[in-house]
Amino acid sequence: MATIYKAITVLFNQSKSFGKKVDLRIEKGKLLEMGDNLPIQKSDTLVEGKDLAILPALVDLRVHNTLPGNEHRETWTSLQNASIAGGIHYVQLLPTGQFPTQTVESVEYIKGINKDSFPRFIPMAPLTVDNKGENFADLMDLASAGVKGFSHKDSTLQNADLFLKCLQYLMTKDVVIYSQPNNDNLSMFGQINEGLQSTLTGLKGIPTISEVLSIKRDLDLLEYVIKHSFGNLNPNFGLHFYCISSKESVELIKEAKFKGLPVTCSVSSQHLLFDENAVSDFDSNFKIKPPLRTIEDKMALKAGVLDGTIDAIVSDHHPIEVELKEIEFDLASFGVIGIQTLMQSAFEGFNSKDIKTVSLALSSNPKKLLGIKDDDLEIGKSIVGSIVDLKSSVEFKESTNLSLSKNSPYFGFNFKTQIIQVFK
Amino acid sequence: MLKSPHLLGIKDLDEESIQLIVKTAKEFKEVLNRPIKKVPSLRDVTIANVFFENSTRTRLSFELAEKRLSADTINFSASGSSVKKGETLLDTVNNILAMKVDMLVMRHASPGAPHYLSKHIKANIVNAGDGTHEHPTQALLDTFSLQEKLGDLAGKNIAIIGDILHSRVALSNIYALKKQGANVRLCGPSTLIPKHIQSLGVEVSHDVQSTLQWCDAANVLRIQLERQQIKYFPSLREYALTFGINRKMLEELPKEIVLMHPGPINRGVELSSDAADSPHSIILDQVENGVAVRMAVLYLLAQRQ
Repeated sequence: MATIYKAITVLFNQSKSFGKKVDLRIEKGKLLEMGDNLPIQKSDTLVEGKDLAILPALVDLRVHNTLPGNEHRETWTSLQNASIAGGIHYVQLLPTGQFPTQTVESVEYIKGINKDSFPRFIPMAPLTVDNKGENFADLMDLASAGVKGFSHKDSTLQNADLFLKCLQYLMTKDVVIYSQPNNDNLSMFGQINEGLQSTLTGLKGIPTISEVLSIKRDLDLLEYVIKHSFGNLNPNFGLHFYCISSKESVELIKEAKFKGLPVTCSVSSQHLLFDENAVSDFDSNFKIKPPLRTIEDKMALKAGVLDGTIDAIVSDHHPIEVELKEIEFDLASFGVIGIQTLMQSAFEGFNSKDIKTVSLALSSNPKKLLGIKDDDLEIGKSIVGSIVDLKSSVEFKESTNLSLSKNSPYFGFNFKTQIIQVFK
Repeated sequence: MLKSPHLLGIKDLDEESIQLIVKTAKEFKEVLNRPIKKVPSLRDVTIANVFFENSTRTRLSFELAEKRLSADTINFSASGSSVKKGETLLDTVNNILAMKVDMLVMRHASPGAPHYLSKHIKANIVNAGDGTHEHPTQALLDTFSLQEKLGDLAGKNIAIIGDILHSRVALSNIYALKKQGANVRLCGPSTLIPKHIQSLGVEVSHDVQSTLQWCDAANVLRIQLERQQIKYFPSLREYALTFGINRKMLEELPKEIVLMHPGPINRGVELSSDAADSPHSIILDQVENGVAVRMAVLYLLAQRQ
């Protein structure tokens, strides 16, 4: 028995129907037919698709790995469940576990966890041994073993010389170096954005310039590396700025892209939905790094997604136990969970006419960074993706949360996007 | 009656409530000057003074206020508690409240700690200082003391001089003064002025002399070295030379101004001894008024029970 989705919006970038409404006949996850005004058979279930969209497999480029060592925060199973419930098929894991993925064996282990099903786990490797910022990890070895992304923990290397050498060393490989821009000295002891709320709450501020200065440094280093690359720069090599949070950062990256530098960047969905006022009553579920900034910054980030300056939207999923979260604000850990709500929260801040562009920031763009094929909808093949209702109202509750951790800023939030079905 | 069951800060207090507290404090001050200083207003009310940070005058002031109101009091300090054994703030407070405590006076190093507690407990909370955030009873006693000297504060020029960045007294005072229509100017080294403070409608200066000439009253703050996790200026010697106030400076002013300090004074740093002890100073009046203001706050909050 097949289901006919009548006039559903296709958000598969590779499809010639991208952004258009078509009829789909789907049976047991397989696409049987696609076109306008498909004939309805007696045995078909008809679903009106006016408010529905079909999305390809989505990617979360930034998820904190808690394993091994923090199984009370998340397990492979809970992460799988939360990802799939949120329509996320590819999960890139930061090298943040107790034992970072810095050997070929550990990389193979993670890649093998869900080799034949979804979500796929994609391990990143640390730039330096044990994330200590001292000696290089086996970068070439790891790149040859298929590692596509390198980073320094969930942050950036403060040592400019070391970072420069990482860029130089890896520039010949098909890899991306990820950096969450931040100057540790300028943000030291900071809790929230340096702005109105840091003034009103007495919490120490993290100034925008701590991010901006770091981006400027990295862009200068990248330009310097390219200048001295002897023409050996790998066309797929790049630098990615994770979770940018300010208007100035968007402008800097836009300028760098215009200059032709191999730069990409992402924003967390939290930064597209909330601003610094969210911490006015000391709710630690809004305590994140980089901090939520001003409304003006939020608007610039949204504009950055729409004009393509910002390539990807990430969840920055960071499971943390309540004992480290539901305490005094300045003692609480930074970070929130969000993989299950990534798509819903990413879509939330945009009009329906913009969903097409926003969907690219969750699919085609990050897939390109990971070297994953951007699938088309193909007749006769199983669909990997999801069907969502874009004009719904669904509350995210503790009871629907599938992560082992509860540090979500979205409990009680009514999303207009409801995930109807996930094909895996 | 106060609109909130807690006094967490001045930010959420309206002017009417501020004036109600001051008016009530005036009445209690009159009581405190009688031969029998005790009133039965809070008989059978148990108040816990929970101090997770050191305090001398605020704690004594609260305790005296509670005793003058005939409340039963218990005292708790972090150094002699389970906090050192790893107990959470909420557990510690819930244990205290389980002993049938009605009100909580709390000082804590974390900004927002009483706000966090207020979401989890039912007892009335009085914030006796939360890190670098607010110190509402200090601002109320400062208002009371200023009104005694200057009358209505609308249109008056009040300067707050010193370490504004780390001062809960400054923030609470800014709220209280602006709500009463006063003009507020902050003065201190540029590194100790929050960058976005002008959004609260205050002026900023880095020149003590001209600030003293401008103001009707100067509230001088202590340099809070214990809260400065990183360096903000070279030395106390240099601070005293650039931002310290002495009696000569006060006497050379074209008009007499009121000099205030929330204490404890670092003599020779922000205030010279001859300035602190000058006729301009109402520092000890502030301490005296502190008891009356805290009596007023506790009395008015207890009325809500």
